[in-house]
Amino acid sequence: MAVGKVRLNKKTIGRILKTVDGGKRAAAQKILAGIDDPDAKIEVYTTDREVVGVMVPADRQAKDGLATKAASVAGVSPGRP
Amino acid sequence: MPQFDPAAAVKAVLVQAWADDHPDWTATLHVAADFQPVAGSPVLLVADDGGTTVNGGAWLVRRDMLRIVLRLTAFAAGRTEAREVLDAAVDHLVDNRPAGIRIENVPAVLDARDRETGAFLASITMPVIVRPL
Repeated sequence: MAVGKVRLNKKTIGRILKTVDGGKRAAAQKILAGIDDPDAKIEVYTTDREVVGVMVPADRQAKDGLATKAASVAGVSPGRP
Repeated sequence: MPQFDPAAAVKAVLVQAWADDHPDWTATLHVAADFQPVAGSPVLLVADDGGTTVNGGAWLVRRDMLRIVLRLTAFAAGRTEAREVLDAAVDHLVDNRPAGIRIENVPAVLDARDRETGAFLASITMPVIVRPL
């Protein structure tokens, strides 16, 4: 049987991951809206893809689960791999 | 039918395990607002941070599995002590999983210090899948 060969265009896929929003900002805004802390903020940075992070003080996350609870309320499960 | 309470089940497992091995360690579902850390008597908080259903859909209402984030946070007088308690708790849970709970992942420990009480905190948010009762 002849087997077709697929070659991924990794350069283009990388460019898409770095430039396309895909609803990340809207989801992060929704989570941030549920956080009651003046220090909570959104940070956009790039690893091998663009990341929109919701930042909260570490002690409030450890004590009250500030970020994880807000994510759950917004319907985003932080446990989703 | 009441919903299964995974945090309570996890706490019960830890209380039972530590009754003999570490009588000075406490597993609890709530920490007092004016909690003060005491060296040698760390406290481990087991909290439920909520989550989503796994499949969703009207035909599975109340019968769906739940993807829940459990937060384990050790409160201690020292950083090493906090991490030691948290590690011991997670190790024990992985080996002695309570019935109906599947541990999906054990991510990295978050280190922090409580600004109000000075307690050292070590925290893990552990995603679990919970089977309906």
